[in-house]
Amino acid sequence: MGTPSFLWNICKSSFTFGLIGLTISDRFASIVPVRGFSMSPTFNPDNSILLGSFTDDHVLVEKHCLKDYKFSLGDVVVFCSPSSYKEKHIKRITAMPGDWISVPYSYDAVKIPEGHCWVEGDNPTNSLDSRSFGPIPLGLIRGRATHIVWPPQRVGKSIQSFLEVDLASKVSKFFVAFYSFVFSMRIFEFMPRGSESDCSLMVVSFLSPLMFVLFRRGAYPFSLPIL
Amino acid sequence: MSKFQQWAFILKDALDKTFLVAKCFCALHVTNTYLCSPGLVLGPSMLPTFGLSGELVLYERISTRYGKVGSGDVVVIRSPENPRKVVTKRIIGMEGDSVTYVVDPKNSDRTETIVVPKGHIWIEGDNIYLSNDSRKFGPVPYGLLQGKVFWKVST
Repeated sequence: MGTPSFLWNICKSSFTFGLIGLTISDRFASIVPVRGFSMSPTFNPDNSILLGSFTDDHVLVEKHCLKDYKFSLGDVVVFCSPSSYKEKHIKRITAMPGDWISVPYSYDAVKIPEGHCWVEGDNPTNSLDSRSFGPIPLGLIRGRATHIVWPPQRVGKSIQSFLEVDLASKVSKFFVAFYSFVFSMRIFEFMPRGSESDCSLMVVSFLSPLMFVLFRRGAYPFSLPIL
Repeated sequence: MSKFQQWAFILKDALDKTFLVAKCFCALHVTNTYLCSPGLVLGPSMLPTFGLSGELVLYERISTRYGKVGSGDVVVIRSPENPRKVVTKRIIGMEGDSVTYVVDPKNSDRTETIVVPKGHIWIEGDNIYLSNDSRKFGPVPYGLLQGKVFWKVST
């Protein structure tokens, strides 16, 4: 076997793998590093600049959502910056088309136009996001981050919305308050003892831990109607 | 033993065929996303340039990727109002240009001038009377560009 044919084979196989890799990274999923502190509690929570890109979080970005551009509130998305097309940012969607959102440093609310969304970083002090450039078109979105894959001690850390955790704690607090209120009413005999109230009490006492667990797990269909 | 060998042969053949099909699919995808792809232009918004009844065009993806488009080019762009749709428009101004446009050509001649912000472009249809473009939704981010039309396949 001569050398040219060997070289030719190497070229051919690397070309094939390049094609397949590009296709997979375009259509299904790819892995990107996250730089900077704009999403700080979720990505790169305590990183020093000295160690550099080795300890940066790497996230799995799935592209399947680009087929019909369906996103939900709280998704972490990768998008092209509207001010410079070569930069990519990673932020969290905090409002969808048709929602109203209050603009910081002014007292008016804006309605998100059709086909746009509002993105914000989780670290509001150190983030360049919709608060400076306004709502972005959904067409700029290049993928949705689903899992953290690189630093081994952070694999599997949840990237679910803080909004939702907030909501979960609020809901659980509400249930606890309601439960204690009902219980105190029972103690002071303001509420008649009957089968109906017993039943409601049981339902409430059963529901509150269940709701807490559900919201912690990020069950979106449950969180939206209550909002 | 010979039966097993036969099955192994068939299986290997089938695997080879699938791999070939997958490779073809990958090549098609890469050509479509990085080199050029066909598109069908429909509707009245580019009327003198493209007809009403749908025309086949080819658009290339290289010059938009490297920022080599200028004003006057016909481009394919993802609609900012509905991300599932792509539209064909003409670039009127790049970032930093000042653009003068007729606000409502059907009723008045009132014009307005704006400066296109950084990283954005101003697009308009050739038929300004029946076009849904930057005069309605403002300058669009460059990242929405899909490609530059370079060949109208004559029908």
